[in-house]
Amino acid sequence: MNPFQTENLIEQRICNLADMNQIPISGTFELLPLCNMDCKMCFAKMSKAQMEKHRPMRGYQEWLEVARQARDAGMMFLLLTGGETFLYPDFQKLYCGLRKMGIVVSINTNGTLITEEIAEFLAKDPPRRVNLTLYGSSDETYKKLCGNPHGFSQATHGIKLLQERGVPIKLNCSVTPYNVDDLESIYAYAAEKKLPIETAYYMMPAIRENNLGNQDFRLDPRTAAEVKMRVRELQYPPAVLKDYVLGTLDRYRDYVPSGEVKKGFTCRAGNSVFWIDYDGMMRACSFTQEPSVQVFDRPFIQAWNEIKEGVSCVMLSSECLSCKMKTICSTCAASMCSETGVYSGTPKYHCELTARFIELLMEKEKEYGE
Amino acid sequence: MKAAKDYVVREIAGDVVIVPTGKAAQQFNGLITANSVAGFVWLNLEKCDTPQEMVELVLENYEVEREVAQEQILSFLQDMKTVGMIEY
Repeated sequence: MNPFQTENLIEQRICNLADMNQIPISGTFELLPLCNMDCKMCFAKMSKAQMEKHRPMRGYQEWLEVARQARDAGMMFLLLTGGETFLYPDFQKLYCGLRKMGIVVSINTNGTLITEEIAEFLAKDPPRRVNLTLYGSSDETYKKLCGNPHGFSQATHGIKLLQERGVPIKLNCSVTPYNVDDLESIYAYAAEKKLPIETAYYMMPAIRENNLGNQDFRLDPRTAAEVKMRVRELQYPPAVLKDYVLGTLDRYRDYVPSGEVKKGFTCRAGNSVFWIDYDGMMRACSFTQEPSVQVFDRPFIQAWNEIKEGVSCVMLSSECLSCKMKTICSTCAASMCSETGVYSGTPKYHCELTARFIELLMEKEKEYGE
Repeated sequence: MKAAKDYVVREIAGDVVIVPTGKAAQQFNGLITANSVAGFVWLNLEKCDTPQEMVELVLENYEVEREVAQEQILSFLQDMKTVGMIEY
């Protein structure tokens, strides 16, 4: 897990220092499971009744106390997410409190609830970034995928309000069978607005009890590989794409698996990154269930130490760790566990996706005459 | 002396990082890192009432010639004051 896909050099240095010292540099607070949309693939959403039955959301002062302790343990970066973040009742009080502590805040949102008042508020003390997910390039797609027939108009209005005030935005795009045909026009929109965009072509299966999750609404692995390639074609100029294709294949062909198998995750999750659900369960990331620790009934540092300890004992799939496709495959601890039920399982979805992606790289290589 | 209210000084694994907030973040929405001596100055601003006291504090903690410390610390503090990052 890399929470800063566009981190700059100073952020990279701080995150690397944190990695080496197992400092919880970056966290996510999932403030609430409520959302004004109803996306088919959502893993987090609950109705208000479901939420009240499971556990009411925490107050902003409770979150600020967790943040204060996390800050003292080294947290520099915090992502606020949901549900829909702007539905959190005391969002502005929470945000102001976090900024006064010197925490660098990013916000996840679907953008449909951004008003002039919210845009003005954010412009006064801008977040590191607003990560705004675009689910399509038309109201029709939003209706099909998100149950909101005005979603695109609302989200793009939100973008306009933020851009007019200089609030930094990054677009996210989660590709499903319902919006895959919008991919090109979503990228065209991002280019027109001069906004960075990141695309998720892979979705993990459901791991939470409260919903059916993503599995029925995600791309099949071969299509996911094709989207992965298409995204690179859309993002890179031709010369960069050629370098990427040839360089990736070189690394793949040159790679000789060492056979070395170490315990622990292969990413920052549980090493310098943590996630806290709306009900207070701290995890290494949003898609891992265990280890998990309730953070509201013990000191933050104790919860963090328990997560670190739990992650350090995990044995991942030895098949994945010694696989020739490792240099290209994007599998991780969370996908191994969510796809197979155990961390030591091999997620065949990724095997198929990566094998298809290698075929596509080789087809491109032939086109280049290499 | 103290950091201006829009700047929060943090220490991460021995690195001093200055986080602009509020109006300062409107001007520069990023992070500022400091080298060893500059970080020491930022972390100890409130221990000193005057720039000269900071010079003495730096001399107590670093092997540096008085003339060099005098010139560079005073200049650094004046620059930080001019851009509104510290107050004294």
